[in-house]
Amino acid sequence: MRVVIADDAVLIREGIASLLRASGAEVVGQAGDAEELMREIRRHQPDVAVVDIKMPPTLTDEGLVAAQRIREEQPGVGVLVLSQYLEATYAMRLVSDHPEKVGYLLKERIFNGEVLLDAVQRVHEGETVVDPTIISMLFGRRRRLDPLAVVSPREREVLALVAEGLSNKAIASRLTVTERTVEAHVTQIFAKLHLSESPDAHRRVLAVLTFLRG
Amino acid sequence: MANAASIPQPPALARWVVPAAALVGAGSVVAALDGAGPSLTTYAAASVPAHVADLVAGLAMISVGAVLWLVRPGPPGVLAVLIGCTWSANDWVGRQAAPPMARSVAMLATPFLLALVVHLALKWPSGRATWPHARTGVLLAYGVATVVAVGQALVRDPLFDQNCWRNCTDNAFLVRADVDVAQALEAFRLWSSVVVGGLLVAAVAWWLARASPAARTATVPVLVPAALVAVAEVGYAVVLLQVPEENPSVAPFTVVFLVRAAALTALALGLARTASRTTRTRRAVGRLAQDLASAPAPGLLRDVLARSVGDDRLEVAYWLDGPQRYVDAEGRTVDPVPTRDQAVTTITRDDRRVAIVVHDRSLRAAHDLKSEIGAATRLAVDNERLRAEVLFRLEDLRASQARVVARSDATRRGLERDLHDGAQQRLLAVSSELRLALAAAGSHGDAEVASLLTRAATEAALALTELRELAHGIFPAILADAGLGPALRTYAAAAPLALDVAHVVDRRWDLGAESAAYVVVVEAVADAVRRSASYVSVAVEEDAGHLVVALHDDGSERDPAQLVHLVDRVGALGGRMHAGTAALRAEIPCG
Repeated sequence: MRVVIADDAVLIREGIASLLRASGAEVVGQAGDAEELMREIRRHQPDVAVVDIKMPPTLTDEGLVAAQRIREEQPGVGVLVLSQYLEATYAMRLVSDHPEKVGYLLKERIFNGEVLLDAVQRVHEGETVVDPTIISMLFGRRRRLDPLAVVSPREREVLALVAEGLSNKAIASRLTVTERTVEAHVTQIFAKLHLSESPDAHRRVLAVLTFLRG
Repeated sequence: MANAASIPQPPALARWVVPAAALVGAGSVVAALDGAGPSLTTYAAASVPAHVADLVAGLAMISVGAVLWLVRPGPPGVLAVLIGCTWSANDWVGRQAAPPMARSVAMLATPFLLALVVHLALKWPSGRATWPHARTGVLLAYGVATVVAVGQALVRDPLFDQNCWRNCTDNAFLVRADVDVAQALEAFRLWSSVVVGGLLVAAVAWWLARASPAARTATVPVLVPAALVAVAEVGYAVVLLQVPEENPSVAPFTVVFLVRAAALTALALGLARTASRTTRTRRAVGRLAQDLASAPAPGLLRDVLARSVGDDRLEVAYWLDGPQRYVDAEGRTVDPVPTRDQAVTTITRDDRRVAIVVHDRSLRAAHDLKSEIGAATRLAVDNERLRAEVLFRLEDLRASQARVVARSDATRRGLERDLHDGAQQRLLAVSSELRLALAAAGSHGDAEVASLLTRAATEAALALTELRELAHGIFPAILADAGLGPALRTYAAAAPLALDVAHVVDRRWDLGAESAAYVVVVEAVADAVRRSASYVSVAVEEDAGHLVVALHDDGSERDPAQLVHLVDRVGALGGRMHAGTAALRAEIPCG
């Protein structure tokens, strides 16, 4: 798997690179800002770009903007955005425009090679990745009338994995059940929550996130 | 009635001299025409309309002059009385039964009519010569009239005048009769009438053409009739040049007389209008002084002055010694710069600048201001200035508070950024290095080191989480990046109670207003938790330039003291807080 890394901090860039290399990925290019990133991507045509959300010049959301640009210009390249912000807003912005082959991961995951590589792998395979911490934050939100009261604990578990961007197949293997069971759960949950079940696994991520935030 | 104290007032006795003289003049006008008959060689005797026109013109001029003097002592009132008397002097000249001395004196006066009108017009309304060459013009008119009057008195014997009509018998001042000189003087009188009258018409036309609208409005009622009088006098002279023998029953003479009388009456009406306007202004200014007790709306003085001098663009700016600046009646800083056709009048008190008035450059406005801003207005000026100063200081204080809040917000934001870009990045790097070291230790089979490194990595991860929460608490970056809606939704996800943010409009406002609104919600939630509420619902919308944050909860009774700092914070931006038992509402200006 060929990867390009973009982060304005060389130390972090090198750290990510060594982790990915250690896990068997091939780091073909590195960039310090969005323009350099676009050049590297055009030159190397990587499988996945790992992009920090904060890059020069404003150090706010250049990474998100770059991710959207990459998805538009190079549909073959997946983008994993690394962020210090525990914000559903940014994750939703990312998945609402181009739901497939994108991921939003908290930056502290980068020192966990397995999680990082898994996320890169999933993005490469066309899945959507939303950091579990964001999902658990959304689930943990206090509400006056809990709309999730209607779903069972098991269904809750499934819903969280759907929100994280996992496919039915991935959920099945995670929960060690059959894919058919997961399908049945998802249908049941969507009906209970009055969500229109989208056949598209990517679109349903946004639907669930929007529901959880409402 | 309020007095205009800033212009010198004559002593009380002197003040009544002009009206008294006017009364005598008016009496003499009526007396001159009393007992009309063949012994009266005047136009008034020729026909009823002429009689009426003659009386009306003379009496109107005299009485208006007297009133004008009483309202605003100065040359215009005196001149008007003199013009009325001079006009009516013709009737004394033609009164055969009158004492020769009276007729002779009246004859001496009549040539001055046009000169007096020129004087009134050219020096209108300030009594000071402000037109170019006005002084020369007035002196010329008086000089010509004096030469004619004195010359004719000395050398013209009416008995030898073949064209004599009004007075063919008496000249008490005659020194030596000289028919030729007398005839030459008569020709000079007529021609000079044509020249002086023509010059006045030209001067008035020139003035009105270049005057500003305000000046034009103020002066037209007097200047146009004055020009009409000049035209009529020119016409009179032209007819006499054609037909030396004056005859009131001949059409041209009758028409010219009626036109002259009408023009003079119009001039009297114009003066009356000015007098009534001055009175109304005085009353308005007087009322203004009375209104002081009932706290008039700021800017009332400006409105009254603007109305009284007929200048819509007039502005009053108050000078504040402390901050060294001008403010308007609302206390807003202004920089009064007069345009090309505007002038500045400074109002001083004990040689200290109190205020300035920017007004139309026309002499009328300038003169009127000097007289209107008198004793009565002084209180109004002081009152408005004091209030403007208080308002300015309040606004200044509020602005200073707003700056403090903004600076504190900026500092927090900077701190948050520093944490993200500095400490957090380094911790990430440390974590990454620890993981690499851990991997290396694992491959070397060093279990003790590996366990130590694992603990270090866990600590680093915890530190990162804490640092992120700390940074978010200092300033939520999402607020600046994505706005109030996303920031509140993020806050709701981690809030200590159910926070309903469904009614938060998703759009951007000024960051200062958004920050204040965010703080209001966070503090209101903390307050609701203290009062054991189970939920808080928040609605955010824009209403009339204000960001309105409405909160509602089910907690116990609110202690307003808990929200004082919130009131301060919102107040610093010029907003307001309303705290009820269950509801809380903040209105924050958002531009």
